[in-house]
Amino acid sequence: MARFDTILFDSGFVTGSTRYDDHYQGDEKQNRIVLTITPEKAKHSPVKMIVDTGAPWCVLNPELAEIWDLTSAAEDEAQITNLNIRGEVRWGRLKRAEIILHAMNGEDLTVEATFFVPFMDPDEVWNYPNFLGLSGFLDRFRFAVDASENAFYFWRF
Amino acid sequence: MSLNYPEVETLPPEEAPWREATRQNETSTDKSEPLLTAIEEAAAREDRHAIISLVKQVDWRSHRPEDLIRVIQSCIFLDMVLLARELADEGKRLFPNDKRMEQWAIVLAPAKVIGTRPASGNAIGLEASHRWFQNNSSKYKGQWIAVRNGELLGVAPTLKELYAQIGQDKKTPDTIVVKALS
Repeated sequence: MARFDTILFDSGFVTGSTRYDDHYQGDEKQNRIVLTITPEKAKHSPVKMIVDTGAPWCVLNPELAEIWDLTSAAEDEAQITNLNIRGEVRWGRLKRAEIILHAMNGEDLTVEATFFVPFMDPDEVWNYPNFLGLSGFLDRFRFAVDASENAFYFWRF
Repeated sequence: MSLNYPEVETLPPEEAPWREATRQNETSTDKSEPLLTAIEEAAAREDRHAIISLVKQVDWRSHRPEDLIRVIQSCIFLDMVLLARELADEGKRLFPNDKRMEQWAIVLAPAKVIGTRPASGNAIGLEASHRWFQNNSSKYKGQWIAVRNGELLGVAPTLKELYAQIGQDKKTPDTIVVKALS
């Protein structure tokens, strides 16, 4: 239980809290807020994603997107767009998926969010983190961070 | 907090794939439409104020979905997500039978909270896995890693190989899968 769970839950400010990693795996030099997220429908394992209020969309590793069944080409090509990820322009497709933000205390939150799924060249290896973006995810609920104990608090609108 | 966050790139070059895709459906009337041309020119200059002003002047009822989609894409490229969302909603209303317009409206819609439920995670196991990642993930750069309840289940260069290695029975909500950056 995070230190302010009781007061924040009782006040109605948040309904869930969880622990975040303060760096993305393999990138120990950069401080991040890294949450554990699970796809709702695909019933696959939880993954790590960086909270990034500067990102318009959530960004998903293409290998995960394939496992989550977000890479089907059946839909129209019109949702193709691009993103500048760490200075590199990447093309991809916008997709919608339901994900669960797990609470260690309180309530899990299930959200339908928009993901940018990058196109990959054959034999290309994707070496970027997953991101939780603002317009496609974060701007629809209240969240707060207590960096003193890596606590992430959240509440649905 | 990320400083190198991803952001929408500015207007793509002429050879951008979507331009080719949308041009295939263009007619000569599109190219003679002064407002659409002005919007494209404003997008090329990255003049966001001009785009907002011009978009308000367009009567989309006299255009085809392709025209609107092209402007939506320009807005996205310029990080004008809210305007793109408004246009997609307008397009869905004006062209209810157009599948592409419907898809754009879906992906540009705000995130939607589906619901809540009592915390289903194994807090103790997740905490143990959290500690494992903090202490050990740097040893596996460039690899996919599966960890459950603070124990390493498998390491592989691809996600498919990782899942093949750990087996279906270990793909549980307690098994966290991560690719450590290289």
